[in-house]
Amino acid sequence: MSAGLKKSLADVLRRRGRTLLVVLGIFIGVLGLTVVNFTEDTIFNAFAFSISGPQPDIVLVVDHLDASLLPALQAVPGVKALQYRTIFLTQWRVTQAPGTAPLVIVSFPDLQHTALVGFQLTGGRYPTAPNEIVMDYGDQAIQSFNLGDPVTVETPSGLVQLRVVGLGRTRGENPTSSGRALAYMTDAGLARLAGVSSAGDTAQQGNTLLQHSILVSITSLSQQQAVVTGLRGILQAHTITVLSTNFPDHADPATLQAINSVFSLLRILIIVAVVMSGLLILNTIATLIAEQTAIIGTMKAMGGTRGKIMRGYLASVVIYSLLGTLPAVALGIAGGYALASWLTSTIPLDVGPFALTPEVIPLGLAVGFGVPMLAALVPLWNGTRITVREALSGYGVNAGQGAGERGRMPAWLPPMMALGLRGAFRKRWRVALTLVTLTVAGICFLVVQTAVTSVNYTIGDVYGRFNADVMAEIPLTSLSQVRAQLSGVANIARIERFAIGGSDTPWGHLELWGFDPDTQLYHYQLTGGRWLQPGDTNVVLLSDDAAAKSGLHIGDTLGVSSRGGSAIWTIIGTVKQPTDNLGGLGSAITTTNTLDKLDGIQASNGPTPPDLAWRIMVQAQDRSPQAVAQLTTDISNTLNVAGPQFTSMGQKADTALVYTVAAEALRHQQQWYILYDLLYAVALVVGAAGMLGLANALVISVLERRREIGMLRSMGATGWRVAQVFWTEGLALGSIAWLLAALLGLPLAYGFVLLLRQAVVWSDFMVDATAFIVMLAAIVGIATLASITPARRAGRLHIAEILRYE
Amino acid sequence: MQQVATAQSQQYIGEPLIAVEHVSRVITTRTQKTVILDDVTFVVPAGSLFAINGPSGSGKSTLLNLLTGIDRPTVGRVIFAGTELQAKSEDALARWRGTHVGIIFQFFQLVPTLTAQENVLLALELGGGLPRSAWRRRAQECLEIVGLGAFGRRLPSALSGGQQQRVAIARALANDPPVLIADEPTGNLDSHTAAQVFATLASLTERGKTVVYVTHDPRLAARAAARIDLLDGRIVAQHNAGAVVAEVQR
Repeated sequence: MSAGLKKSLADVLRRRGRTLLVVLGIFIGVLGLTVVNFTEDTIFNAFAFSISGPQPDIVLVVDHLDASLLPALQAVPGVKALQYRTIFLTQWRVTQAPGTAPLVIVSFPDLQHTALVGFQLTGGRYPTAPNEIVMDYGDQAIQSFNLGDPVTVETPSGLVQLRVVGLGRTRGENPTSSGRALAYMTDAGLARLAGVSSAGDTAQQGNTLLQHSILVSITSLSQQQAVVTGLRGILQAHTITVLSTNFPDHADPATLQAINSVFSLLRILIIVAVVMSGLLILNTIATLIAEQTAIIGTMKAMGGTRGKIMRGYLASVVIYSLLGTLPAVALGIAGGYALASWLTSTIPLDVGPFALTPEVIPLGLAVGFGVPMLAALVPLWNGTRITVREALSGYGVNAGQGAGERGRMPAWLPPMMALGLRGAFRKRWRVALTLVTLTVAGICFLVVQTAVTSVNYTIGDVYGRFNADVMAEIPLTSLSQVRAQLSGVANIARIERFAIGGSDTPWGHLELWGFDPDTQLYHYQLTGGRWLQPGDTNVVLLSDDAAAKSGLHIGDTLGVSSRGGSAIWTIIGTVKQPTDNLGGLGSAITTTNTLDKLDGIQASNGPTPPDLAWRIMVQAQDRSPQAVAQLTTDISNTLNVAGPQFTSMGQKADTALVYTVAAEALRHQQQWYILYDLLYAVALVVGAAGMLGLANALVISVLERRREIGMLRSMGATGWRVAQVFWTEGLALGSIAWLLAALLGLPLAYGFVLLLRQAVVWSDFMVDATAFIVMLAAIVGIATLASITPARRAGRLHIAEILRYE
Repeated sequence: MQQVATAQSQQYIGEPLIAVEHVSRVITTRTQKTVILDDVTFVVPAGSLFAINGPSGSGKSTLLNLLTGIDRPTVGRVIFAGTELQAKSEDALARWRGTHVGIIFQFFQLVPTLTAQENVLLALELGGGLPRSAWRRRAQECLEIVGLGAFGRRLPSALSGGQQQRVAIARALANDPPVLIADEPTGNLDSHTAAQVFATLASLTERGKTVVYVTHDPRLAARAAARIDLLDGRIVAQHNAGAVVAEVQR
């Protein structure tokens, strides 16, 4: 290693605390950028995969399949494509505790033609023999394996060993996030596992281990109900029993759009963080140059040209960049994939196998190396311009102009404090840079805090109008039946039904709530018009945000459509009812019956009761958390006397799902925690950059004022008194930054919330007053922390050492 | 290797190596004009031990800066081996210094994070006169010349003041410059160490080097083969320096 490079390395390693913060600044900036870019790319690719072919709109679970019926089923009007699928639910023997993992093995009549489920072979080959299996790529997160390895599964006749011949993936299925392994076999292989003669024909043998489904995609959503009726008719005519009918959720482009918007907003903050990293580098190099003025002079005296000296310092910058950027890009990609996996599981989308998008690494490296390099050029260019004479005179950097008349301090100010205040404003460019850094840090904190407060308040308010304690999703029944069923359960004050649905509108997805007009468990907050009345049909109350976004008014009509068909509803009022649906239009309230009708929810056998219920809310008499928890358990036990049933491949359970309203509200709020964490992480980076910026400014100040410090010390000033001068300087800068941040931060925070409102989720603008106090405390804290090292250094300087310079 | 390294020095011996012709240095501010050097003329013979003597404020360091191209005269010329320094740009001067002048400072100015040998290597890297493969050997040679061959791996903080100054001399020798210029080289040392360091410096003339040093110590100045005495920016006495001596105002 050359001496020059060793010096560059030593410059980096000598001040480890500063290096740590600089590297951390670069690391977090690049990490954030890489995570955001990689996550967005991965989600975009996953979405592209998910819409790359038709998806099932209807899934009919039947007792057995009949291949000869396929042509007749495909001929039902409205059917676009139709496919048979058989599932075997079993346990996979794995090495990790508890020794088994749930495994869903799927077979299709022809694995090479599975357009409706989007099965894709990603490695190896299709299974041909009954003992061959294709595993999903995501299964490797549960247990690692290679092509050719055996896998052991449980069957009614004991353990069976199968051989992995391929790797594949399916749209919408992700074992990594679901924790449930997925595999593919031939029909014959699956039948052999289940112990039947043929995969499709199990009903006669009473085998319930295999689940048979008919997957259907339709030409228009409005025909959904008609298609179901048509298919059911044919199946019943051929003695095939339909066990259940399901309508899988599809990836919602609006949700995806909103997630993209979240990333765009995050990118804005990340860019601020990257710029702050640049300022940090600028400050650090300026400090380094100031510290090494004499060394620069010596190098010039030894024949070092400006270019050679600059290259030496740029090598230090490259080392900072290397230390910060490489791990940031690597972790950013890993973190981005993890974040994408989590986000796609909530949409739902199939994240797909890990695939590196080509531009992510070069972009991360370009920012990680380019921004610090560019930022360093300014101080390097200025710092190395110094002549040998200036550099070796002891005050290489111009000591600056005195405060003069303009800077004269009030007479009542103690001299040491006046000295600190005057010192703070000696160098205009440095004051400006430090103030910009600190102010941006303050603004960033205020923006983030206001955005989090606003969103959290709004999300918390989604369930704020519910006066219920427990909610339940139940198998289709009537409210009177549920009430009768729960009559023996203690601590119930009132039971009401309600419904949740949704409709696509020209302005985006509209969340729909259904309540009975006489509801007492939902406390509506009217902002215009009137509430629902008994006998109301096809009327709706729009939430304020939905009304604002759509421009619709009371008396206007709104076209809605869902599984049951479409309808025209008249707007009779507006209410305050927030929603946490990403990128949606907002929410609307109608009667339960109107919403059920739109969703095509009706009794499968006999007439539909007027009090049809599939969701209920319950108010407890004793509303203490313990009593409500007990009530939840009691309701669940009463409604689930048959015990839990298998669910798989997106099908809904035929069991009651009971939960507390508080838990549901918390669950909704928790979904946003990752956004809060990301926002706070960025604010933290910016704050750290601000702190280091101030610390560097003070360090330079100490360096430049060595003679002044020497004079003070020779006149009897203690180390503590000298340190006070620099603390005053830090506090003065911090206080101005706080004032600027408070003034500029509020309108910027409002703008940020407006952006969030437009692109992500509607939220009220809520200012958290404590944010200003926290910001002031943080700035005082930052100024104190940043002042400690330079102040201690100033206090420790020896008089003789300082004053011997000419 | 050593013969090759000193070849550049040998060619100047006996001739006037540096000629300072009617040089003045004036610092002008908005309110006043300060004359640091006033019409100074002298020559430095090649291979000589040359002293610039004078009390504090006489303009010694400024004159030294002019000789090394660190500062530029307001009036007059500094000619080094036939080349006028004033005509060169800052970077050209830096490159020129790398191969023609070795500078030794009163406070050593070693890079604290580099070992003694690495400090010498840094000069080789910046000077660029030798191929990279020869650097380490040359650095060791220079340390041996100043008697610190065994101290190459020590950091400056692990060396005494005298040793640090000798490392600075080794560093100045690295690119085999014909001239070594020392600014109060013993000013920061005790008398015993100062004598050792001065002896080291003086011995370099035997290797064909021209050694110019600044001092305010008349005894040290007296040991030079040639010298000028400065007072208030003017030469008031000279010995073997071909200087124009100014009339002293009494």
